[in-house]
Amino acid sequence: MLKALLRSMSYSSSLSFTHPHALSIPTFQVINEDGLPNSSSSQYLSSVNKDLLIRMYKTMIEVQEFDTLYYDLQRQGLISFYMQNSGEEGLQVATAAALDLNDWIFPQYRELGVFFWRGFDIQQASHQLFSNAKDLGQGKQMPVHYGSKDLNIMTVRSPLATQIPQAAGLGYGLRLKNQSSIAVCYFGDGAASEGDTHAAMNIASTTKSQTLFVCRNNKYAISTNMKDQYGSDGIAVRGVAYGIHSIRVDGNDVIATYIATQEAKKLILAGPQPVLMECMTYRRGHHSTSDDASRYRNKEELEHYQKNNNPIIRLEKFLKHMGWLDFDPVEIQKETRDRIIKAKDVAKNEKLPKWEVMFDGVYNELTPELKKQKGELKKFLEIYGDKYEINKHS
Amino acid sequence: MFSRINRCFSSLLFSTSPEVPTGLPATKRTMLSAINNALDTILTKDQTACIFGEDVAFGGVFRCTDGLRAKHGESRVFNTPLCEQGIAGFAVGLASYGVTTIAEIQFADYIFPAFDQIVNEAAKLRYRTGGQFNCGSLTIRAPYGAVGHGGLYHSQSPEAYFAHTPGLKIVIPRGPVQAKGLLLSSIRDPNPVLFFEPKAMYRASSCDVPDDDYTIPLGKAEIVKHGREVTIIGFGLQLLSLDKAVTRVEKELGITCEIIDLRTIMPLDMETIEKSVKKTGRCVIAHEAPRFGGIGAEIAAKIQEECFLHLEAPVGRVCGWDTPFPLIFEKFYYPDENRAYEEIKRIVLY
Repeated sequence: MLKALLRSMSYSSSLSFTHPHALSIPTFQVINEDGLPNSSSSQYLSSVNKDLLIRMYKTMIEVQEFDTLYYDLQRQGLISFYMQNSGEEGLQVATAAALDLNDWIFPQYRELGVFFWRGFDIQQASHQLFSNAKDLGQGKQMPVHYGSKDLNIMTVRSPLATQIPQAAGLGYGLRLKNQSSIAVCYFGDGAASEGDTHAAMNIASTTKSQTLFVCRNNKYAISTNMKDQYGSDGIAVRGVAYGIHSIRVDGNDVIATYIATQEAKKLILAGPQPVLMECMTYRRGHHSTSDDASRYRNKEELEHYQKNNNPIIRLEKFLKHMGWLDFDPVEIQKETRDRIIKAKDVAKNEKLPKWEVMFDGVYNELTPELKKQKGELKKFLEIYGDKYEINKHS
Repeated sequence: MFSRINRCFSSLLFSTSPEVPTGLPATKRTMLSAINNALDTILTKDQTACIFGEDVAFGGVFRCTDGLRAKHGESRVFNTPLCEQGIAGFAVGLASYGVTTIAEIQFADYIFPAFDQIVNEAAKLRYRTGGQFNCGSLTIRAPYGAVGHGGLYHSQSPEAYFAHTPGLKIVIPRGPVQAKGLLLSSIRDPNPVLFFEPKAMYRASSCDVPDDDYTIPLGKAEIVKHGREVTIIGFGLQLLSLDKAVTRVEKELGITCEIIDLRTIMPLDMETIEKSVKKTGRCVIAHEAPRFGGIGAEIAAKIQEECFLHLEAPVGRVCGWDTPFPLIFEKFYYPDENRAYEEIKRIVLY
């Protein structure tokens, strides 16, 4: 105990302040923005193969096409709200690909590629968006608040960063039960400013939780650019401050992100100890359908990320470079879109959940007071049901 | 007043409850010892149950977790950093994995950084996920209430803030026997429970607490004294003031009072309350928390909804004033037996 107390005290006779950028963490990258491997990257390329990368590519196209359709459908009034994943499809599928189904996921709300990779299919996602009776969440939350018990994906929630200390806790549970799996939470550069982020990393560090913190630094929190979000060298340095192994990765390089995630998981289980991974990326779309990013971003910036640092295009170029592009991207896009439209039609035609379900799940069973209130609403709906479109509910 | 708990032995605070089996081997325990015993019972029977919070490892600032780390191990009884939002968030996550999770907040006055995790997360997890996930195995314990010298930040009763959140259960014991039985029920209840422990009671005398594993059901109030002319409702340490006030009222006015210990604030046992008020026609509710928006307001609203034609008088309330909890003025602030007596008399003679 005394040794530990004394360890941190090494004296210096010269007065100096440590510069805020004394620790400058570089960004790990395997393939450059033209989709070509960097000169010293060959050692990493054996970690990936053609089938894996093609699956990543196709999953990213699924996310892209799903986003495109549902953004338009929201604009047409068919669903109430939507959030796109544009620009971040790469880090979503690449991190997911390095994990398995025994690992737990705590998403924020911009991780559709993680859901699709793990088997949360387009149909299930569509049901959630239409809040119909087949929504696993029983129509309780806004669109894009997906979750799946079977796939160990904790349901998306609206308050930011609350999932992060929860991931620290579940990561501790995994350690307690000697599981060789990890809890992975995703959060944006904005959410990283919340108190819960600090709280989570600190407690994960002291309790040695089997937790991977994945920060999607997409440079914007709604309209707030990085410069108004933090004064530090991004989020990766904060991990070091909490005593956590940290890495910064090019989130638009699926190979670098995949490999870094694999290594992070190994490091976590070897400790056990938490790890922080900051994925540098860019949010190409609006924050949500309630936002118009053209009010705070310029066209040049957007075009750069659409053409030059786009994870899908970079992977496509890499596949071409390797001679692995044995499919027609346009065909894949079209076929994917057709599947999504079919699923949309099924979801749209489903009834909404029974109104009674509104009272379920407050507790494990109805309390006397809830039974009473449910009875009151039932009487009310017997008179006014039609005014509330009750026949749209099952 | 609090130094007098030991000397003025109140039978109500140290009584047993009808659900507790009689004739069992028992040990004299203070409330903190009863809580310690309940926690020990859980950690013994549930091999992955965890208790954590600030200073929990050495036994806790109130000694409630004394000896548990040595007995059950470092991985299950441990200190967290000083961060209530972290404690609560970590606890929600651990509980959503199915681990029996008992988080301690050092003083209820410091529960507010954890408010978001409790109210937006713990309370809503089962509901918003369509039942796919829940943190039912979560219990958050915190010492609450007046202690004689606590001032603003060591005396608060925050139950009303949380009672306004669907999805939480709130439990408050009056004595050692109830503390053990209610805590065991709270930990085992498949819903997140806030367990507020009246800190003034921790070391205040002791009584026989059965050694066995026994539970007192949640959501069920207890009629600790039967009577005919007025229903008195309280919980926690208030049962002491109410006991004294009632003794005086009964002697001076020649009536009998029915005293109800709520035991569970959320969900409220309105059935017991309604039955009693329909019988007596009069009611007084007591709590330490400020009058406006306190639990008394909700109970009074429900009573006049359900028992209107049976009421002979308005529903009275004896509460803290609508000020923060003051230090040197605590004797004026605290709803004690004299304030309770005056209010009961006012309602009985209305």
